[in-house]
Amino acid sequence: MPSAAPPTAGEPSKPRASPLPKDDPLRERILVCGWRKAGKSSCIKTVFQGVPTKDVPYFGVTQKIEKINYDTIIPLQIWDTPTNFELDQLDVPLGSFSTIVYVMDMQQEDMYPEIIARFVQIVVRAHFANPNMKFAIFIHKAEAMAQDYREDNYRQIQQTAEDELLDFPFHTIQNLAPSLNFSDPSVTNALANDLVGSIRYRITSAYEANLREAWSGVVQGVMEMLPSVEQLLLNFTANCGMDNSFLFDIASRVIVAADNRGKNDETLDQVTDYLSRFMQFRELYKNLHLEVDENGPNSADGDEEDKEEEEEEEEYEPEGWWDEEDPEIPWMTQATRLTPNTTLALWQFTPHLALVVLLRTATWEATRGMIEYNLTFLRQGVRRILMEV
Amino acid sequence: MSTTARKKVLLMGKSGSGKTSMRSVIFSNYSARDTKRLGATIDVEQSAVRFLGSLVLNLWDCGGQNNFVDNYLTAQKDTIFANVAVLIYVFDITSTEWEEDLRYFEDILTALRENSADAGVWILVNKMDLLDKEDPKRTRYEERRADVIRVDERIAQKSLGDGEDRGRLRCFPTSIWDESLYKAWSSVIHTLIPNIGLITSHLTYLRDVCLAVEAVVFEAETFLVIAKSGSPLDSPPSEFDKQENRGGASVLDPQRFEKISEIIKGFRKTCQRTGEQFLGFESKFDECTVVLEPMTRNTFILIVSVDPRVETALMQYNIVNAQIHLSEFAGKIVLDRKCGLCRNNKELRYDAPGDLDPSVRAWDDPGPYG
Amino acid sequence: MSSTDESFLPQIVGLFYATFDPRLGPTVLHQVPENLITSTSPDENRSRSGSRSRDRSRAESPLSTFLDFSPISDYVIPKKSLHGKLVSLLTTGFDDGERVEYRIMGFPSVLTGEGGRYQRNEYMWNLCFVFHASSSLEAFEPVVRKCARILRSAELDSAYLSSPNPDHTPLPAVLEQLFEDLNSYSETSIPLDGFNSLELKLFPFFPNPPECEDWHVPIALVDLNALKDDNWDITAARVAEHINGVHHVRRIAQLADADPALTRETIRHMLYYQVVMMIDIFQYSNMYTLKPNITRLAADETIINECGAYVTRGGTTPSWPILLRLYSKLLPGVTVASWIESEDVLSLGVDPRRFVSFGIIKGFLRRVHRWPIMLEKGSPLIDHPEHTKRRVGFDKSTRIGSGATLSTKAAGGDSGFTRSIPAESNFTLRSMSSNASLGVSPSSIPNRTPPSAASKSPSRRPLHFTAMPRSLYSDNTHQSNSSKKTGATLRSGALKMREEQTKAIEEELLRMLNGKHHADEIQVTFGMSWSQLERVLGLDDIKEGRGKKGVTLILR
Repeated sequence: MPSAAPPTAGEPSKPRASPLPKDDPLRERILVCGWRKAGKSSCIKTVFQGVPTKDVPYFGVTQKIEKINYDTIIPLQIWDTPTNFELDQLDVPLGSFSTIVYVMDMQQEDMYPEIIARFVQIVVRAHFANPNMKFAIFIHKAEAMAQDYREDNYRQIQQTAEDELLDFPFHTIQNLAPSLNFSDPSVTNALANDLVGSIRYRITSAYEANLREAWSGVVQGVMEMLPSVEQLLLNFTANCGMDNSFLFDIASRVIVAADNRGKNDETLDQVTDYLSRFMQFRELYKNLHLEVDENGPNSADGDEEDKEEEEEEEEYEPEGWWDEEDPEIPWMTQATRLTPNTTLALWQFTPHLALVVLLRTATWEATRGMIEYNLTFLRQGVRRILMEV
Repeated sequence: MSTTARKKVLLMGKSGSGKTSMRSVIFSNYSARDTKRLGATIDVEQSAVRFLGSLVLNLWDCGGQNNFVDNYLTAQKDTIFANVAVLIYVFDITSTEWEEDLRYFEDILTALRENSADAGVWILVNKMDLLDKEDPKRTRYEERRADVIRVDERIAQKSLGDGEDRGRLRCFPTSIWDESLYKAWSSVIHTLIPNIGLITSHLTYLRDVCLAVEAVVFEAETFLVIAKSGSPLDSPPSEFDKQENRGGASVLDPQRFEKISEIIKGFRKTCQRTGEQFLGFESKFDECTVVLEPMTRNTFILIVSVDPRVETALMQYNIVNAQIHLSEFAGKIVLDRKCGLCRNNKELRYDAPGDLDPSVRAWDDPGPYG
Repeated sequence: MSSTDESFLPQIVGLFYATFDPRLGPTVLHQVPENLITSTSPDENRSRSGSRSRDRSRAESPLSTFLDFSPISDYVIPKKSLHGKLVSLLTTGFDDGERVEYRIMGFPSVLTGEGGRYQRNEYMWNLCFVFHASSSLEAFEPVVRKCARILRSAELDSAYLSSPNPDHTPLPAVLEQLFEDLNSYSETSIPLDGFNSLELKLFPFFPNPPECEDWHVPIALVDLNALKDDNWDITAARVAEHINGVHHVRRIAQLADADPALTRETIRHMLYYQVVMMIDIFQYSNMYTLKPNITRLAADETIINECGAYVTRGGTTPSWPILLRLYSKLLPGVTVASWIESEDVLSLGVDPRRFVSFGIIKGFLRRVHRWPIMLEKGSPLIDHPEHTKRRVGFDKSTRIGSGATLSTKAAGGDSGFTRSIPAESNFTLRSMSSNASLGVSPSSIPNRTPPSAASKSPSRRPLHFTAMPRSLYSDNTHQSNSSKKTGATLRSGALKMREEQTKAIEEELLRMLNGKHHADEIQVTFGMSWSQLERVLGLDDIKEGRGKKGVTLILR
């Protein structure tokens, strides 16, 4: 009782045992850096390590670089950096990262210029290390701010960053790009504009769904197969008369793909909360199993009605996460009815991924069989894409 | 049973101990964070909460400032302490004035015993979350609990009777940040509900019909647990009945019902933002098949089974059938169908057509082939 | 607002400032005087004895303080529903051991703190004023409200109340000064925190003015034109020009070209501020009598000195005994006209109108009204309209005061009974038997709906009255600028209609003959002089206490 931490997910909160070697170059590397006490660790741990948000205030200062391996739709390696971190301290080439997440504290309004100047330095350097590098600013600790302030500060930060980039003294870094002529304003302007366009700004808070949304943007940014998955979801959603569908990473509750039709913040909050509440519920009962009872009939004929589970047994592939699966265990399913007319439904696709859909209750009741039938193919499709990658 | 029982519940304790916060979390769908916005309670705030249709709790939330308390003990004494069903006294575990807190409690308990000798007393030692980091073994709580019990015994000795008709004193550590609060309040509600034994026996029957491990009833508004099938709430695994053991219930978290209350209420709050309301769910995961459905107008029922033969549709079918009977016996005395469970129940005197005719089968009679 | 008479402002018995203490609950923090009210001090509470006697009655003797806080604390620091409202309450206290009723007025206030500014998210307070129960507190209402408003703003600006600062004026000192200044000077100015200050002034409270009727005659008590400035309301400015103690309200509205309802409203404002007072229409048929207070006022220096100058039109001034004798000759049953005649007033150089007004203004003379009552319905009061002299084609309706909907205008009736019958016949109502220049010309007697049409708003008058505008006049000067909106279409005025109208008038007149309407009212309603009314009612020939038409007259 004392800890009473709501289990954030059904999966263990420690980094998943991975079949890949520790520093597998196949992992997409994400570098998280930022000003001191900006909340870097809280951004990572509450999402990817299942640390309850109420422990956030007790986080200590990160002392050294921590690499967090995380297997979701693709394997990730997230690097948490200590307070005094400099890019030179990396023991791998800066270019091996695909994304840099820069965390800043929204409440440090007086520090904005310094914080952003630092960020721009990193952006410029990283760009020359990896021209495809993606950048995200998490404007963190937003929970203390009212909506109006948030928007004002967001605009101020964005404006400051753009101004900084456009005014950046590129001639000082000529050595990084000998081929470019930084004395030509058209070259520097084009470069600066290019960089401005490569930065995503996100307001985040450890206590709100927007942090997961921000990570969702980051993860989706490094997913090569994203368009294919999205297309599958879109087809499925449209053909089954559903409102929205979201492919979630179960443990982190980060959306790795969605049908991207008319979604809004409330819906995102709702489906995210739905998933996490259900996982909390599941935690309470998941260890329940029938005691061996010599008198009672047992589960020989157990799965005959489970339409959506039958397909799983077809999947036998060598190597990879699918080997972890026990084909005997049925996939989780869940359907929650809401008044006046909404049903939230969930189907697990892989050990890490689950689909959450939002649809009219009437549709659900009328076409449940058809939906579940179609779902089988969607699941197969998604799995096949993932196995290809 | 059809008449409405009104129960007066006093909510008392020193100012700032969290009385209004817990009331808001339990009865007004506040989240723990929301309670930071609450102001102090002025004098007594009364509210009525309808439970299960037939039970109305008159909640007297009494502001805990010294001047108010002095007033309760003098001018308002007869009004406040008469006809009390339950006193819920809230202590703040972080309080630095324990001696004084205890003195106040003694004054109030004495006044209560003078006016409502048989009232139940619940001691909620609140804000446990603030101390758990430094005192994970809860030694402070145990000390406080012992002190409170000593006070209770002292007062019991002073009063003439030997405490025969005296309500029991129960002590719970609570925090609005976790399910411990639901635990304590469930315990209060559970004792106030009439015919709890009858509800339990029906639930047990329903559970067995569904080949389930447990069937649990929650109050719809507060999502406080009211009753469960099989062994009583809070039974240790050694007291589990056969069906529970067969389903492996011993691995279950004893706090699960309170956690469910918290989960469902939290989700309900999220749904409010889109203007929707939680209606129920069905799910299969791991080995479990689970449904959570409205039972009567004021209750929800949760049925959990691990038997692979069980489908959610079966459970839903059984629930629909049970609804007819359960809402019937909650509302009236003459039943439409005879019921073996109700018939054997001493608390309920009921009438049903053909009750004495052995050829008319009770609805729960499995018949010769059952 | 010329004269501020402090003497009728209630005295403040004391002030206290109470807050909600997060630990103790409602608590009195400051008070003036020191022994105003009991308050549980933190010390007293902490020392709650180990013996804990059940009886918590206060140790202090009730003699030492006026009030006990605990019974009233619910209303001083109340629940939410009373916040932001003026709350006054009666309570029993002690003064020198005797039970005394006190009246307490406060304005319970609350501020909700943003971001943990207050310990329990809220700061509640109330600055209460204590008076004797007999006090009438209207004058203090705005002051109590303003105190609450200013304190609120000081708390918002500088946390003046919740966290006292050495740079601020300490609250106890503020209470002290409020107490002293308001009681002694009826005003005060106390800077609080550098941003806010209490600028208070007690204004004596005037009761609502009496109704202003069309037949009243306002008379100025101060020089209105001297008070006038550019900021005056236009209507008020115009109305003021015509207040001369002669014109009645309806007449003023006509002269000022103002809406009669607005005119009444304007004059009520003047009444409120006591710059005008109302007297009656002066007529030579009026009767007056002295009030008992003449015995006292007869010796009043100011009256004696002012009277002669006021009542004469220059020339010699009769001595006070002579004037007093004249006053004493004004008796019920004696009309002014006959009084003038019998006392030969004019030869003394006395203006009868001013003479009478003076007595009324000074309050020792009063009007004796005639109250006609129909005792027994005899012959019809009004003769048949056929007998009316008709002047077809001569449209001489005057403006119809307020009733914009009125378009028909005519007069019909017998024996000088001018009525609005949709025919153009008009009657000369030249009624005054004597010097018109001194009296009120009947032409100025306006239309007025009878009081039974209760609403002052013209649009809400019952239709059957508006459809029959009363008419008036007959001053030729009036006719020349009379309105052309007269219903030419109705000019043919059907006879039948006229009969109906006459009948309606008869009924209306009968209704007013119940002893509750005095002659002035009836006259203004129907636009006729007393002599005409007297004839119509058959009172010109009284036998055995009643007139030939069964109407009698009460003088009161």
